[in-house]
Amino acid sequence: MSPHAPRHRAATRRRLPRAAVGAVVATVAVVLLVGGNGSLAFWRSARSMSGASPASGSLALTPNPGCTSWTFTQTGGPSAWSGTAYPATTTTTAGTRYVEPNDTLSATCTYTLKAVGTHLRGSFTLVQPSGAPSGATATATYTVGGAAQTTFTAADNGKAVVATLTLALPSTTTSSQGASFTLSGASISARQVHA
Amino acid sequence: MKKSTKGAIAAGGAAVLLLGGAGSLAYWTSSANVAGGNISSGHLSIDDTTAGTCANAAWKIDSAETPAGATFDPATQKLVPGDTITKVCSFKVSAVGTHLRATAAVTGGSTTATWFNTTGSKLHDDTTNADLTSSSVITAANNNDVITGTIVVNFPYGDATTVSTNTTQDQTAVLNALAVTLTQVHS
Repeated sequence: MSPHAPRHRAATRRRLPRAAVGAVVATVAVVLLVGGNGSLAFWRSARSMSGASPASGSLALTPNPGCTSWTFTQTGGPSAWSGTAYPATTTTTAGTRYVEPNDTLSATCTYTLKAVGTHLRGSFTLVQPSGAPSGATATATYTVGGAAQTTFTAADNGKAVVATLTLALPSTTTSSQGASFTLSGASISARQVHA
Repeated sequence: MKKSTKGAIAAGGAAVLLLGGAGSLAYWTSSANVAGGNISSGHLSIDDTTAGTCANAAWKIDSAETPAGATFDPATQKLVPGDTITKVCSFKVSAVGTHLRATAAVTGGSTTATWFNTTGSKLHDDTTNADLTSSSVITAANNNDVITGTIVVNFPYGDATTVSTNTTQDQTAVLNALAVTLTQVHS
C-alpha cells in the first residue's frame, strides 16, 4: 500500500453514506405529506339574515279626570210604590234622595286613550257594577274625540274617551222597598283585538 | 531512476487502481413517466341575491288587519298582540363537485324577548319548491338553486288564560341576526 493512499480514502469518506441520503429524502417526503393536511378541511358557506329590534305598542285608558258621582233622574209622579210622595222629576246626586222604580242613575267617565300600534284595534266594554238592585242593568255609550263610537284604532291615540253609564231601575220591582244599595266596581274596559 | 521518481510512479499507479475501484459504486436506474393531469376541486357557496341585500330588505306586516301586508319599519312602528311580521331574503346556491353533499340550516336569531317568537322562520328551495329542513341535502344537482329565507316574528294573541298580559306593552327587544349556512359533509 502506498503511504499516500490514506489521503485518497479520506476524501472518499466525506461523501454521505447512501443510507443517510435515503433517510434525508424520506424525511423530506414525510414533510411534504404532513403539509398536505389541509385536505382534511370541509366547506362551509354562510350568509347573514339580519334581525331587527321590534317594539310593541300599548293600550291604556287614563282617567282624565275619571268618573263623576252617580246622579239619578226621577221620572216623577206616583210610582209603583204607593202612599209615598216623591219630588217631581229632577236630577240630583245619589245619596241625598231616594230612588224609586223606573228611575235612571247615570255617571260620566272621561279618559284619555293611549292606542299605539300599526294594527291596533279594539272596542270598549262596560264592566257591570256590583251592588245594583236586582233587575237593574247598566249600559254605556261612548264618544271618542267627540264622535260616538264603540271601537277605536291607533288613529284615536290621545283622544278623550267619554263613557256615559246608565243604570235603569226596573219599573215593576216591589222587593227593594226601603233598601239601600252601593254601586261599586263599574269600569270601562278597552280591549284590543286582532283577526 | 531516482527514488523520488519511483515513488511518483507508484503513487500514480495506486491512484489508477483506486479510481478503477470506483466502478463498484455504480447502480442502474430506469424510469418511465406516468401521465398526471389536472385535478380540480369543486366549490360550495351561498350568495345573497336579495334585491338591495338581505340586510336592507323590508319587513312586512300580516294581512289580517289594516293596513294589510304593508311595509313595516321596526324602528318607528309598533307591534300589537296577534301581529306577524316577516322578512324574505333570496340566496343562490353554488354547489360543484361530484361527491358534493351539504346540509342547510338556519341558525342564530337569539332574542331576550318573551313576547315574540321566531319559530316560523324557514328556508325554502324555490327551484325544487321544497322546504329545507335539517334533514335536507344539497348536492351538485342544486347548483344555482334559488333559496328563500323567511324570518317570521310572531307576537301571539292571548288566550283565555292570558287575556290581559299588559306587561307586553311598550317593549323593545333585539332580534339578533340569523344565518343561513351550507355545510359540506362526506362519509
